[in-house]
Amino acid sequence: MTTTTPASPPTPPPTTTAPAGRGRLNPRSIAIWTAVAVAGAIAWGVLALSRGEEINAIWLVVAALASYAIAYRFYARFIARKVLKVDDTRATPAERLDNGIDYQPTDRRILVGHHFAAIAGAGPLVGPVLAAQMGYLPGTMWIIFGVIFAGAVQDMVILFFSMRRNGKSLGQMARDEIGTVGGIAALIAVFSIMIILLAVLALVVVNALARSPWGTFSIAMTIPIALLMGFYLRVLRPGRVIETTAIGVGLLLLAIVAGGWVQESSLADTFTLSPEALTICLIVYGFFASVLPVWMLLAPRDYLSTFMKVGVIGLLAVGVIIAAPALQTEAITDFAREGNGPVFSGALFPFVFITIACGALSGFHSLISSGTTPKMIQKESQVRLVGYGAMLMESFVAVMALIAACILEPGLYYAMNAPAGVLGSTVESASAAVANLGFTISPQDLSAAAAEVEEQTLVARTGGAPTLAIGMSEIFSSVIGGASLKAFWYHFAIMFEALFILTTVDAGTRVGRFMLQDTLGNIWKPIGRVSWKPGLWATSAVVVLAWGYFLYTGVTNPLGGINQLFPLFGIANQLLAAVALAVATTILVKSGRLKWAWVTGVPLVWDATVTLTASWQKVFSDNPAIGFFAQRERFADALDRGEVLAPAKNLDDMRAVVTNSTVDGVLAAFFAILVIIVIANAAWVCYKAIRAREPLPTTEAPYVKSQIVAPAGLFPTAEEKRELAAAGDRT
Amino acid sequence: MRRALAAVRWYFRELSGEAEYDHYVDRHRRLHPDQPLMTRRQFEHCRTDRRDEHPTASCC
Repeated sequence: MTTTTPASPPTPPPTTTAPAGRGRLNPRSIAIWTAVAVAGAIAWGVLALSRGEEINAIWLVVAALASYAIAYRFYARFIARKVLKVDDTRATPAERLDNGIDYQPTDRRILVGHHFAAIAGAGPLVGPVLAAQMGYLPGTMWIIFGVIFAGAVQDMVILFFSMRRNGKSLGQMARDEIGTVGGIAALIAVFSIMIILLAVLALVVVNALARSPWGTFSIAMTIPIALLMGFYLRVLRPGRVIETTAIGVGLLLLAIVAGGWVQESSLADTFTLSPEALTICLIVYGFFASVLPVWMLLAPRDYLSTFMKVGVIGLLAVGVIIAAPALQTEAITDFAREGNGPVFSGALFPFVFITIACGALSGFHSLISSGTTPKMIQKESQVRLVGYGAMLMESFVAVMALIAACILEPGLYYAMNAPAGVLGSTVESASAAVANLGFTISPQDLSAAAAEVEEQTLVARTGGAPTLAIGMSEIFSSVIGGASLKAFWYHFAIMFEALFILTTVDAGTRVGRFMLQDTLGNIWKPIGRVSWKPGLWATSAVVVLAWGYFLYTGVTNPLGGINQLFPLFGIANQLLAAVALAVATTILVKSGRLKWAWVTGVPLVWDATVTLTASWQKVFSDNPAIGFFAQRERFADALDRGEVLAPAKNLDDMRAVVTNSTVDGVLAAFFAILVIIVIANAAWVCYKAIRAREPLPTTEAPYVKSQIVAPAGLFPTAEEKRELAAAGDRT
Repeated sequence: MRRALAAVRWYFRELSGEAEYDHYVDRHRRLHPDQPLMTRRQFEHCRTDRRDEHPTASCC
């Protein structure tokens, strides 16, 4: 590596004398890509220019897919070849360090599946549903352009840099490349985002299951089902994952159907739980799930939730294309301009970019991209498929979630998503509140919508999951089963989300505990030993109580937990993205690629602008709906006067608001300070690297020649097929 | 048709980890032909129990 302009690449430019079959621009491929570009341009035109008429959701799908295809073909390839300079003659850590356990060369098609299953969860399903408050256009544009220029770039670049460093974690890379301060800030960021993430996800589940005996019963049944599967896999048929999963999925469907019977039976009261009771259940569950051996609960749940995740997302894609529903939401709503929306407060900039994290740009992914995946990749060029490609898939999931939310009547959408404090608890009060917001839904229609899916009420079912489930049941029932299956599809969708959120809660608690044990182990040795049970229980309890605290305040917050906590989650996630992009930019600059530093530098500047503006508003805004401290002051002043401000109902509610606003405000400020520290530290390191006369020492593992032959993309090219045949490979 | 089914089966076995034991056996025979092989039960126990001490995150 040198600090001067890099020499010309070893292969000649692709347009002139590239080897046959690779990157040559023949008339056929020019025609195909022109057609893709035209289709995408037409779809974007329809989305952007139509006002007042109904738009079909298919246009959204076409705009997304065409944009992804062009980005993958041209931009991702440019990054792989010019910026990262992937080198397929260089052995990857999977090849060099192959130990049959964590380092293991894995087929690219399998690895992209693993990576996708690890990055895609409830995030891309929840954020877009909430952002539908701003209309379909801002969310769509951010999801698609965000993923192309920021999210997928981050995932791919971090995957590549981690791979070149034998699969180092983001925290280690931050310490090595930026310095101790940056490293510690990154570590704190990872831990705090984990806590907020788990609390928000658990809150989504609580809001989806509260006072729904059907949903609560079905989800409760997943515990015995998972235990049974775990026993089967451990004792009866070790390793027979597919048949175990098939049994599990069968039982799961039965549990969904049985939920309907339970709702009609005398058991209904037993499974009708208040949000507070569900919170306690989740906290207790979270603790026990995370201290039980993996084989009992987590491993079988993982199989189930991965299967459901991939299966349902596939179904949804097919359903959207067959049903071709029309969007009911406006392109851009007044809430986007004025920032006074009920679902979350604040104007389009910066809050759309905070609300939709997963699906556009998600810092959390950098942990997966620097976790197991880089240790399993066969060929350097496969980072494009695995890193960039899997993130495009997640983005498509987010587009479909946005569609599912935007096909609902706006009146129903706001009756479900505005906080309970605004809507009241009856269909009449909700109908009146929705009319106040400028939309209409009659009390009868609201009751009918709830009856259709056999729920007691849909009023203030915030958190995104019930809204998404209603949208999915519309789409699915128009393809299969009609109105008679609507209730089944609704609870099927709730089950699908709750299942993998609970799996994330279990896995996330373990990761948080592991980090805590690791850190505390530096101070007091025994606690760092992962097999020492009292240490394990204590650290698990700390992690569970940490997210449990935020969950409980969210559930009981008179202002609405999602309304208050979701922006914090978004800020924390985008903060982690800033850390990842700062690490990537620093590595590019230090390795003499200053002229390409914009590839991660521009997304970094954008992300930092968004995150810091949002944090600034959350901390300093004098509008009590946005600024946490302004809100605190308003309620504290009233409390001093002995007044009760709506939506609080009594003085205890008032005190809860004051405490929550203080904690949330301090956290928002704390996150912003962490970002500033990391970016300032990275900028200083970059400045020193640019001024340095001598090239800086590289932190990459040394070059070893690769013996593996494997294709770069999903489908082998003609030339790659010949190479594979020569190497005696049959696939 | 048969090839397509075989491909689907291959993909599911690989993705679910069911094929891990086969990879282990291949690898073990190649590298340590003289040492005893773990049974499927032993292998699967080791593979799952490893996750107790090396938790991996899945995302939001």
